[in-house]
Amino acid sequence: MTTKVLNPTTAVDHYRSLFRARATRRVGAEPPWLADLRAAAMARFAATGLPATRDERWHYTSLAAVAPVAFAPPGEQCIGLDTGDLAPLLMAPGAKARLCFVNGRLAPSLCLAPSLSADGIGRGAPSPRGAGVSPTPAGDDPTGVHGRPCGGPAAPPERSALRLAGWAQAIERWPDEMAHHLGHHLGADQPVAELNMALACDGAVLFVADGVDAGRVELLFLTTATSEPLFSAPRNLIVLGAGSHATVVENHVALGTANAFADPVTEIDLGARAQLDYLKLVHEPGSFHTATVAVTQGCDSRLTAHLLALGGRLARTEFATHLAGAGGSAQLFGLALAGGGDHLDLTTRIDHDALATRSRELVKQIVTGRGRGCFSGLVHVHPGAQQTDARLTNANLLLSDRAEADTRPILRIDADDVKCSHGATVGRLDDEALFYLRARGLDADEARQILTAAFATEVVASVADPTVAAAVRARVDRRLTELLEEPR
Amino acid sequence: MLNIDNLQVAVSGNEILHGITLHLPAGEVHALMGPNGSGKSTLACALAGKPGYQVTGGTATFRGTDLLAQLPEARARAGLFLGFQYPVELPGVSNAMLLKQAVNARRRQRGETEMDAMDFLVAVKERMAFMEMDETLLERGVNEGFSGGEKKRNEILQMLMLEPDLAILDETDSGLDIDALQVVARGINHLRSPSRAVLLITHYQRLLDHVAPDRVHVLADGRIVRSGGPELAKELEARGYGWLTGDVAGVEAR
Ligand SMILES: Nc1ncnc2c1ncn2[C@@H]1O[C@H](COP(=O)(O)OP(=O)(O)OP(=O)(O)O)[C@@H](O)[C@H]1O
Ligand SMILES: [Mg+2]
Repeated sequence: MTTKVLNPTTAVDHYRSLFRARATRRVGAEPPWLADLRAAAMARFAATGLPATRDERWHYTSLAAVAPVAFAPPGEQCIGLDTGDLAPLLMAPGAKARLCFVNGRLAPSLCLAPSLSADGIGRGAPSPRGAGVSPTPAGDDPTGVHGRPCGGPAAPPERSALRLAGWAQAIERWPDEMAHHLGHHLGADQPVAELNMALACDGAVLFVADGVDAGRVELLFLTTATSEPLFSAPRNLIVLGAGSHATVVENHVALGTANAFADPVTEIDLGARAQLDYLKLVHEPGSFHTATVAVTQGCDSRLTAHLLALGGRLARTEFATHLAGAGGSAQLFGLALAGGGDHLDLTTRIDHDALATRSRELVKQIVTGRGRGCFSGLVHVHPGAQQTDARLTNANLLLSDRAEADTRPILRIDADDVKCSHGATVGRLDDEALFYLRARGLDADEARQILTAAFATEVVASVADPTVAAAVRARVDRRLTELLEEPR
Repeated sequence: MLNIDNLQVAVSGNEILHGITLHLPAGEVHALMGPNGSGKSTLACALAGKPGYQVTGGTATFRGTDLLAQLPEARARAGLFLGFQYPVELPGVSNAMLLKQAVNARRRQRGETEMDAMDFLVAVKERMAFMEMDETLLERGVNEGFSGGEKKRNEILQMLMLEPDLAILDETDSGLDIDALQVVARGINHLRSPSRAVLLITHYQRLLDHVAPDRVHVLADGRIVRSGGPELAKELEARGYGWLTGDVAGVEAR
């Protein structure tokens, strides 16, 4: 593997040169509003550079190892995978709609379209500010996603009013909506999200029309081992109309140990009474992953988010939800399984910014070997957000003496009529519990496995969709077995 | 069945048992009584192999084999059952799953095939009915949120499923209401057979009214200070331990 080493101070220059290279390549292909967004993002990134640990939100995670490597987007690639190869990786098997990206690029042959093409059917899909585009025959589809290879019968109209497309197609077909949402759900001072905006080349875009049940959608991001250090910046947008429902799984997985730096951003907008079950999983051994997920929640919307990290040389997810409408509720579940070579970081932020909003957050970390799991959780109750009801819980299980779990739950309360609590624990497997199981004839390894899995159960069991829950259970169990086999 | 000779046990460097000798033949039920802190649970845990319970002298054999050399799980599979004084809560570990694993671990040990899901369910439900337990407890986490009485019944349920040769029941009667006490006693009597033995650790005569012991031993300050027939328990009930605890010369129990 050839790795060009950069002088640390030139990381900004490196990404600026990637920015210029892509701007030249894409000139004329992108609308001016997007070029402006990108330029502004690049300028903000250049001003700060990669985040440093003096930034509170990056307290536990240093990108010092990312800075000197010349990660770059892949050139022309031959995918060499077919849908059969995906089966063991899928977290939402049987989903009617799936987009698959390989090393950050849409891989049309691995995608599954929702049964109807682009804009669903006219009457089901509202077109805010007239942005709707008339359906195109599948053959004209530039991404090749729509209409193939689904093959099945057309879904009933009320389920089909979803629009799912790759980034390039979405920009082309729904520019007004894209411009309306892109970057608008993110907070300020997010250098890795700025870097994403500057360099994003692909991603998944999902619009679900008012009142529609979109069912299950899987967004699969595969990293394959490459000889060159690989950079990818997927940019996802999920917009749920009023009263709509969806289950979206964002699955980041590396095939083998890859030398990659993935910098994904997912923006999510939930309309009034919309309900989203969102699950993000990352399992990228040997790679760097700095994800940003930002949600805006309307009145009475309900978000359930599962943030699962099963491995990564450095895998960090920064998740924020803004409860902007009265009566909105967010349920967050986090699970990190860190083995010897893993540094996992989950940084969450919940902003209660309207009347009578509710949040529940439960984060569990299991760490073994020399692994490290870091959790920072901020709950901010803004002035005027009366009747906020928030609870934040973090529990950590250390399986070795060298393992490290960090926890920083923070409540910031600027309203008076609120109910808020938080708690964090760090512990080891309970000797009494181990002995109890052994006294029933289970051997010591089996007892450890059972108790470790039990620690994760609360999070795994809270996945509502039974198919996704079973896939999560299997993935988690497999990873736990590996963890328990590692030297302590 | 169980032969303990001059057993000495230390916990964190402190000797708690100063030489226990106790012989429990097959077919018998022995009661072990004694004041709080006298070492009853220490003996039970040492016999079951709890880590941290260091045997500093003496021997213990179970059906002729050296018990002390074996891992706790091996002792359990060989047919030793410890009913815990304080059953542990295991959130996230299903009660049914634990029972099934435990039963199959013992069956594998005996060279029997594992029980299939259907036979297992039939067997558990039959025993739960016998123990007057709510079937919903099966799907709950092991002892998770169980009442004190439910935990003790659950211990006996496990015992009935595992059909051990030797059951050491550490205060399984404590904290039970009158009806529950009878149910638990029924469970113990059900297990009683010429090929099995039971060591009942208890503070109260009332369990022994339902489960008649063959012998009664009194432990005080890490030594067996008196052994006798069932009448000894009645005498303790009337007189307390004071008259015995002065008498620490040590008595051979048999
Ligand atoms: N880790 C320990 N370090 C020191 N002493 C201990 C330790 N564990 C137990 N002991 C002591 O050993 C003694 C015997 O305890 P044990 O639990 O066996 O008593 P017991 O007879 O079962 O009492 P009870 O009737 O209250 O259940 C007690 O004095 C107890 O404090
Ligand atoms: Mg005791």
